[in-house]
Formats: sequence, C-alpha cells, structure tokens
Amino acid sequence: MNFIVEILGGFSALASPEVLAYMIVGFLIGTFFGSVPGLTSVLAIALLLPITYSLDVVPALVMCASIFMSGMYAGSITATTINIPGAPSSMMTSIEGYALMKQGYGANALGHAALGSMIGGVVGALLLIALTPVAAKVSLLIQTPGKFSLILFAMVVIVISQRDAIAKGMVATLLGIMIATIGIDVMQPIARFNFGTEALVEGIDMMPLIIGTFAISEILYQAYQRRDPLAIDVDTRKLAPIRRRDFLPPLREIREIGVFTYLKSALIGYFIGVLPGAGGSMAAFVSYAEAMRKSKKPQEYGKGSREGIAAAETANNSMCGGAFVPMLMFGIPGDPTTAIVLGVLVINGLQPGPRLLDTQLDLIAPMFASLLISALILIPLTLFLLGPYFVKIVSIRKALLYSCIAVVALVGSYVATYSPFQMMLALVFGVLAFFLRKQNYPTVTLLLGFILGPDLEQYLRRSLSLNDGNPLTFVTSPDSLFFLVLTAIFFYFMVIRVPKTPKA
Amino acid sequence: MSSSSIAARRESILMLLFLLIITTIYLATALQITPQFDEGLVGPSFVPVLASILMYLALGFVFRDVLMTSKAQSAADSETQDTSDEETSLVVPIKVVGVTALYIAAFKTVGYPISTFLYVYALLFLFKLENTGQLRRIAYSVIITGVFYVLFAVIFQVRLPLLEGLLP
Repeated sequence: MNFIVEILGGFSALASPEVLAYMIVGFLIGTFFGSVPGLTSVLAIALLLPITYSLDVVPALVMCASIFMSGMYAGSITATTINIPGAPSSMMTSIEGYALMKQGYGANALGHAALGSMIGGVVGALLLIALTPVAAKVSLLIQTPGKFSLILFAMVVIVISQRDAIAKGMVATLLGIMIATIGIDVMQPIARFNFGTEALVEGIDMMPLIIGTFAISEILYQAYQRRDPLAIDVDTRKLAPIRRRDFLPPLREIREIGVFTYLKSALIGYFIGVLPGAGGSMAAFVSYAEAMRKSKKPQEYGKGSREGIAAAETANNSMCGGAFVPMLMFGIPGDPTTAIVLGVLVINGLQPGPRLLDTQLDLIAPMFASLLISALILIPLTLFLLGPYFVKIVSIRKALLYSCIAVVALVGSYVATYSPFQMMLALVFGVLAFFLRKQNYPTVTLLLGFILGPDLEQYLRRSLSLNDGNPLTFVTSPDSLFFLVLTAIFFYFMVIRVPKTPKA
Repeated sequence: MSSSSIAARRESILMLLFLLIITTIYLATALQITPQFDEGLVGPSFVPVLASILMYLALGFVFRDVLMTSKAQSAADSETQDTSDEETSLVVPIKVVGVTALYIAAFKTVGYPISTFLYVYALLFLFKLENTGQLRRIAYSVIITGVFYVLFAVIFQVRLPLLEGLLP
C-alpha cells in the first residue's frame, strides 16, 4: 500500500513546475539527440551528468528518464524521413519506415512509430512499477556468492551480446575492469596502480570516463569522418512533405497489426531490457524478427511493413522500463543509458539495492512517473507539434553542433572537482575510446566493465574470505548456482548454438 | 592485398600491441602489490592478475580474427578492385586533440571566456564551417561561449575561471 502511495506521490512531484520543466526540457533534448544521426540519448545523458552536480536528485532523474524515453523513440524520425537511423535501435524502423516514406506515407510511418513507442513505453513503465517490488524481494534472497555469480552472469551476457565481436567485447570489458582497479583497493586500505602519483590514489572518477568515452570520442570520430553525417540527400528533400493530419494511423491499420503484436513486442522489449548489456537494438531486432515470423503478410516486410515498425518501436521503448530493474535492484545497468543514470544516483548518494525502495522511494518514484508520462503524453505531443519540422531540425551544421558538445563535455568535466585534471582525463579516455571504436571494439562494454568490476572483485573476495578460500561455495550456494547455470545456458544459446539471423 | 586492407591490418595490430604493452605493465605492477594483511589467494592483486591473464587470452582471439579477416580480405581483393574512396582521415582528429589539450592547459590560466572563445573558433575552423565568413565565425564563437557561460555560471551556479590566472 505504501508503495502505491509513494508511486502516486511521484506523479504529483511532476506537477511541480520546476520538475515538469526539467522533464519537458529533457524530452526535447532526448528527441534532438535521438533524431540527429551520430548523436544518441546516451551522449545526451553523458553531457547532462556534470550538470546533475548542481541539480536536486529528483529533477535530475526525471530528466534522465525523459531523455531515455524520447531518445529511444526519436531514432525512428530520421530512420523514416532520411533513411539514417538516429539511434542503432531504429535500424529495423529505417527499413520499413523509409520504404513507406518513398511511397508517400512518411507521416503514416512516423505515426505508427510513435504509437508503437507510446504503447511500448507505457507497458514498460507499468511493468517496471509493478515488478520492482517483486525484484526487490528476490534481490534480498541473494547472498554474497550469489551476488558475485549474478555480476559474472551480467558481464558474460554483456560480452556475448556483442555478436560479431565477442573477443573485442571481452577486451573492452577487461580494460574497463582494469581502469576500475586504479585507486584504493576494495577490501584493504592500500592504493593500487597509482604509479606514484597522488592524483590517481582516489581512483578514476566515473564522469571523465563517461564524458571521454561517449562525448570526446564522438567528436573525434566525426572529425575523422570527412563526410558530414548530418548532410541530407537532395532526393530526400524532394520526397512528399510531412503533414500533421496524416500522423494519426487509421484504426483499420492498427487492427491489422493487432493488440497481440503490440503486447508481445512490449513484453519482448521489457525482458530484453532486463538483460544486462542487451539494449534497444536487440529488443527491436528480436521483436521485429518475431513479428515477421508470425505475420499474415510477411511479403510486406522490407517494402514498408507497418507491423514491422510497430513491433520494433514498441519493443525498443518497452526496453527502457526493463533496463531500470537490474540497475535499481542490483546496481547492474541494463544498457549504457542506465549505466549513466546509475552514475547520477551514486553522485547523489543513492545506493542501488532493495533498500532503495524502503528508504528513498520518494526520490525514485518521480523517475518512474516521468518514464510513463513521457511515453504516454510527450511522444504523441512532440510528433504532432514538431513532426513537420523534423527534417529541418536534424539539418543543423556539424561544426556548430560538435563545437557545442565539446564545450559542454569539457567544462562539464571541470565542474566535478574544479580541476583541469578531470578534463585531461576525459580527453585521454576520449582518445582511447576513439581508437577502440575505430577498430570496432564496443566501448559500451568498457563502461559496463568499469562499473561492475569493483563489485565483482569485492563479492569474489568476500565470498572466499567467508569460506576459508573455498571456491566450491559458488556451487554449493543455491542462488550462486542458479546464476552460474543461467550463465551456461545463455552462453550455450548465444555462442555455441547461435540463432539464425532473419532476413530483413 | 589492397593498400587499404594492409593499412587496416597494420592499425589492428598496432592496437593489439598497445593493449599488450598496457596489460604487461599492469600485470607487472599487480605482481608488486603488497597486501596489508593476508587474505590467502585472493588478495588485492588477485583480480588484476586474473584480468591480465584473461586479457592476454582475449587479445590472442582478436589477433586470430585479424589474421583470418586479412586472409579473407586478400581473397576478396583478388576478385574485386579496391573501390574505397578514402572518406576518412586522422589529420583532423589529431588537430582536434591538440587544440583540446591546449584549451585544457589554458582553461584555468586564461579563464573560461577567452580560452573557450578561441577553442570554439578553432573547432569551427577544423570542422570546416563552410560558406561562412570570418565575421560570422567570430559571431558564432562569441554566441556559443556566451550561451554556455549562462548555462553553467548563471543557471547552474558553477564557478568558472575568469582572468585570475593572468592577474598579478
């Protein structure tokens, strides 16, 4: 009962003009970053991270949630209008959406994408609210060896999710763990890997790593590519104009897609979101493939299937709710965005775990409410108000955009400690991430390795200390054994017995 | 094998070498860690040593992939002509890193307004803000510097360095 009251309190917190303003600003920022090719909602939240030092925790989390939701939806805008997915999770939408755009149904495709995102976002947020107390109770049952095995499971899933680059994913994850070991040891009061410098004794802060990995490396990557990713094809500009009256999908088309498709896609997206490292791209891909497999009109796929758009967009927005569950209950981020949101929590002194719901639900509930309201109201509202101008919005000049991002990123790094050392660290990590990215190493796994590494080490050493160094404790402890078996199952199905890739 | 394939392979191997060196330094340092109290096998150096060993293993897998990709690439190159049109260059990123390092070095001494104005101007130049005159480029630099000063210093109350470093 108390939980429900607190959640309702979260909605009333959004009635505060200040918090509401942050939610709307966050949504617009997310829409912009999500729709512009080359920018992502991850980058938007990374740039926001330093600003959260000056914000209260509620507006900061509310803003993060609305950026997350809008960024996931907004990827479909450029995917449909100019055939360049604004975010990787909109790859499937670009196949179907742009085909419809060329047939003169661009507005209709955007309408279906928004409707799918809205349904997925709402279902994901409702499931998050409904299942978080259950997840909190389950998490209380997990003891120290189980926590180690859970984090190990998360790390293995993160690495094997990099389907074409598992070895590179492992390298990046281990690099993250290695960076995380710099500074004071997790169990003993000794400094490790500081190489005699005082500046490294306290370890590497999460912020320069995030800013470097996601912002500076992006700037360098764009400088590396001579072609302007924001340049829009002349032919695209000649396509049929987008009109507001065409946004609303006809009821006949919605019936053809079917309530079952929406719900199934939302559930797929949510549960993929719960898996660490899987993210929106996998959610959209799996849901799209499943919808195509069960479709009554599979021949339409690849030529402008509204059902395909609905399945992909419903799943990637539903993923947003799912990704919060492991982050809030176990401190294990489901994707890069929630990894940065975890940083916001830590900066504000909130520790993820089941006690978060007992003691600080009043701070978390507005974030849940923001996810729901962003999906339910802001997605359709933004489409209606800004829809006809989307192509113009994403035509901003690369030079101006990246200059602004560079200033926000570097000054933001300075904000944390008022020290240029943090700025220099951000630059160093940016250069490292740029070269890793250039060689197709997944930099997201570097961040997740950095975040999960200290907990992995701590639980491993604690478990062994408590059991006289006996490693069998990981097998004899039922919760630990459960996660080890789960790891083996995932490894079998994702690496050994690789699923067939559906034809798009 | 085409010149672009050779360059790509060389870059991949250079990256592997870099990571190998980093890992070796890391492992050597890990082996020198002296614990304050005995924890048995899993002391402060256990995870770093384990991470290093796994890193060597992972780098070995990546190296194998690089070799296999190179073989496949050379087979493909013998059948098709190289059509890559060199849409990428490392020159601009290196310049961006240079001006960013200068900006960071000057940030506290010269202060936010001047250093940021010069930095933005340099970035606009490097990112080739085309069809724009000198005056407009200066105007953009002033506007961007001003907008973010208002955001950080006025709205979020962050103390940004002004000209303290230059004053006696």
